[in-house]
Amino acid sequence: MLTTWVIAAVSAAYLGLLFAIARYADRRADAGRSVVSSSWVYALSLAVYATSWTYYGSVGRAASTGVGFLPIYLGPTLTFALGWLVLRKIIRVSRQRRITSLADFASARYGNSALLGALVTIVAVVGVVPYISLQLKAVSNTFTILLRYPELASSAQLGRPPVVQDTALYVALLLAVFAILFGTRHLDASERHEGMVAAVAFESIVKLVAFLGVGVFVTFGAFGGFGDLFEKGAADPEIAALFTLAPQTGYGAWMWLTVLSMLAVLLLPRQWQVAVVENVDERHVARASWLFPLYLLVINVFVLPVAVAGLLRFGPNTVDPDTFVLALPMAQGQQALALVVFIGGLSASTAMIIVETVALATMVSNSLVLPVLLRGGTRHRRAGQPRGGTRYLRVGAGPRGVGGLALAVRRVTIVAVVLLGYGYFRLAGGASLVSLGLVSFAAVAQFAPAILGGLYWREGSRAGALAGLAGGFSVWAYTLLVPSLARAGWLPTSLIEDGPLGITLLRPESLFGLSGLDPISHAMVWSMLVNVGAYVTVSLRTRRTPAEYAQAATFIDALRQPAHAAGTRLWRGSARVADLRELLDRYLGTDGAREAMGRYLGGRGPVPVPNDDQLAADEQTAADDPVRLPKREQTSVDLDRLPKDDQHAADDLVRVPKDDQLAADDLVHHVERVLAGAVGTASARVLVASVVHEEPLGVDEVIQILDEASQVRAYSRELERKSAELEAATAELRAANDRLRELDRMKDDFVSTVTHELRTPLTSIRAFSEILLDNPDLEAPERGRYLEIVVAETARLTRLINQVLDLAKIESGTAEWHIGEVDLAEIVRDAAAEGTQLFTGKGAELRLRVPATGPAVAADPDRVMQVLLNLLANAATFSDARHGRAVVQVRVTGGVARVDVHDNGPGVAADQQQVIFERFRQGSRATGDRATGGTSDSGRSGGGTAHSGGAGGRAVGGRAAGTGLGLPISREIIERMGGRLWVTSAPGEGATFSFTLPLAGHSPAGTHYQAPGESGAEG
Amino acid sequence: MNDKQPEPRHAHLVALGALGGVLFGYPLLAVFDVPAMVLGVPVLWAYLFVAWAALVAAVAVAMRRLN
Repeated sequence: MLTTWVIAAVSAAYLGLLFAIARYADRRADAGRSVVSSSWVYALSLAVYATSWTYYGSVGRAASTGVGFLPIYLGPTLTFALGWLVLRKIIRVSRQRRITSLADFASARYGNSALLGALVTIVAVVGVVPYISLQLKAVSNTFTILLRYPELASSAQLGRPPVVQDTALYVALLLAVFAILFGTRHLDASERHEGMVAAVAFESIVKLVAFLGVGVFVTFGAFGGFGDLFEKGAADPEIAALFTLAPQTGYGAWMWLTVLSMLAVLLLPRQWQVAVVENVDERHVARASWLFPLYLLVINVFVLPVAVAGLLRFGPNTVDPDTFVLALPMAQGQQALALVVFIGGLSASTAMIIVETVALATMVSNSLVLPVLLRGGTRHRRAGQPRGGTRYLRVGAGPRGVGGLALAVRRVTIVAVVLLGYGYFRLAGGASLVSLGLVSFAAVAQFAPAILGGLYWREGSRAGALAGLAGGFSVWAYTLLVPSLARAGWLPTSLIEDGPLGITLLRPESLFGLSGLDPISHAMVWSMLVNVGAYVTVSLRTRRTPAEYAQAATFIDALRQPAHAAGTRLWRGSARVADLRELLDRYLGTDGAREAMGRYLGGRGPVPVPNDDQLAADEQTAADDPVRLPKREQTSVDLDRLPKDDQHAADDLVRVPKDDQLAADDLVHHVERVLAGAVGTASARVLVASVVHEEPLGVDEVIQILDEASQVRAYSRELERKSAELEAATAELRAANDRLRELDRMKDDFVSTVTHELRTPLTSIRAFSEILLDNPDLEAPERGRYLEIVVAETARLTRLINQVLDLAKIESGTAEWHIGEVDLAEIVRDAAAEGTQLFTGKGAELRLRVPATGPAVAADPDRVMQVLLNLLANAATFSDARHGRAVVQVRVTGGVARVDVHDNGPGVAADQQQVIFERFRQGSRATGDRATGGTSDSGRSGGGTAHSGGAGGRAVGGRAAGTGLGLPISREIIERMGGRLWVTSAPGEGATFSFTLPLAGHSPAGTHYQAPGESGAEG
Repeated sequence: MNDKQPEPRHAHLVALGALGGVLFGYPLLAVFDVPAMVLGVPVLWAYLFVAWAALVAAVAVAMRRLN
């Protein structure tokens, strides 16, 4: 089955599928229905991080260092935890300035320095070529191994096929075609390559599924699960050593690998491409910041198991551990699985190569080649022409403008980079996959001080960035590249062993005698020392130009300032519209120029920095509906000028500002941004400067402008804060006022109710007293009866006054409390005994469900008694008129003692359940009038005699008898003792008044007893 | 898009990043770097993946809260 042509056909079919997916996605994008605008696709495209290094190389590394392969994947997890802060800032800045690559970013940050951009490009190309060669090596080796099935060959036996028979070459060329087709569609490199992204996201799924497939097969098919596999491995001391870090990987090396991968996941050109340039919406970063690490976690779960299985199956030194992933299914005779694994590996390699070459191509064309060409052109002009002339670079003008040249440069670069990678693999590709990759990681890590420092450190200057990068790169080359070239036989090996010219102190792998580190840690220590050191010291010692000042500010404050503020105010000068238009014509081609102008007019006013939707919408409008654009304010047509504008005079009739007008600042800014997307920020600056009469701003002026801006920002923020505070204060005041009014109203009600309640007994006392006075000869029994009434009413009066005083005392906190440990059941029994007469008088029944010795609670027994009598009286009043029944229950629940007093009366309607606890608010029980009437009657009949116990009246219902204070007082009392009192009731099913008290020893920190003068609190 | 939008709890994320640095760094790593097995798998391997998963989950929760 695994014949050459089957493998080749399947591979070709797979690559064909990639082309189809990319084509489909591009079509959809052209139609305005993007398939890649999703945070899922974004996260999957980030997984281009997992290359064939991950796919094959991790197992190889795990076979020699155990878990030492993991830092490469833990680092990105840490970086993406901060992704919302760092990555989003980079995306924001790049969007604002149409930055299209890492080199462009560095150049823009440090005053549009073309030199810095070029240096970054060179470092990236030199650093990344070994990485590309790594991918090709993996493709080539695995293809050959697969072909030899069923034999299992080690890499040493593979040899090198002649170039014309080498699969890697054909794969490389195919990928170059793919990259050219889908990666260089637009001149404006800030536009997204949706087809490419879709293909890459698809490949991320393929490699994940294939790797998990082989992992599951090996772990659960060939072995009996993780436990079995690791147990067998642990039996072999050499394999068991892989289960710990200690002997093979030092903690220092572990840390450096983590740091390297943290930086690489941002700074590798391909990561920058997918994470920043291809980002559709910065909000996608939110999901990607956990989804992408999750992807890495999942794809790494089986790495160590597969490595252990490979070592168990093949033993050391027969099969190259880098190919275990493929060799294991082959050894088991699983041809189909082996083929799937090969395709998975192919997908890992191809995704990386495609994105990496596209990213490098943009860098080479926009930051290396075009600046050189344009600089030559403008210098020539400056020598011979007065300022404002428009005769600059003459190459490539035409319908596509110089842009055609830029695209050509990019395409050539793609082919060149792929071939360079292939050449490196043929000539020097002896090293293992991981060590090749780490060399690249260390190279791109050199960008970190300039890029990340530039995002957060205002003082970072162009000279500092140049010095740091150059120094760090040199050290990298000396400590990592030179040894690898020497090992490949290109340089004498004595260089490594004895140092240059025999100076041992300068040996590349133990520079200045620093030994005992692995090569990567060693290189990182020195290169970072030099890089960061030079960046910081030189930055501090150089004066920055106005442009650097301005751009440092816009980069560092990117997340804080309103989007459109970027750079617009930091320019002063004048330019003619005609010059700007000619510039666009030349560099974007006539079509591109028209579109760019259209976009400007479409968003007339201060040019907002488009977020994606706007951008997409703008472009859509410009592309679909050119006629719609001219609606906005236009200059009137100047007929005299018509003949001169030969080519698109008709369009210009209505759309473009008059040519000899001076351009508005925002038009100049817009033109520069559009050009930046096409030719890079450094070149765009040069081009625009060539047609603008620019008055250079001094550093002081720039600082002043920036200060003003930041001050305005600070003021407005302060203002917002103040007004928010004011609003909050107003709301508080209003609430307090409302509360005061409510209290005032309640006080009035209280006074009027109290007087009313006092008047009723007074009236009857007076009436009977008068009768007695007027009729001195009244019969003795009758006189006795009247006197009894007078006494009873007086008692009621006293009780009412006592309760009012009581309530006032409790509320003001001057009441005396004698809190002690009391037996709740005993009190309940006592209260029941005292209250029985209330029930027997009415023919009702009182039942107790009380334990023999009840829970001990911390409470004032007299007060508890008062509450209980109150509730019992209440229950007696309201229990059913004919078959009245009340139940008192005591229990401990949820760490508190609880008493329930249930009656079978009409119940309390839901809307009354709070009301009855308010003073004098004798809620009507149940819903109907009949029920209220009934209870009133019974209340009346119980009237004057029922409460001679003096413990308190009823609160609810019984208008004539109750004082309306019983329940509020009870609630106050219970709450003061740290409990809760409430009612639960469903109409028609009676009511249950429940209260809780803290158990003795669980007193809630005495917060309720803070009343002054309560001397006997604990006694 | 501007600063009026409630900025996510930046400190929260920075803290998670720092937590990751501690979890995956010396000396905590040395605690688990022992030649022993737990539930049939190597201790260090198990620790790294569990800590990793926990960190990813924490970031996911933090991000969910932001949005």
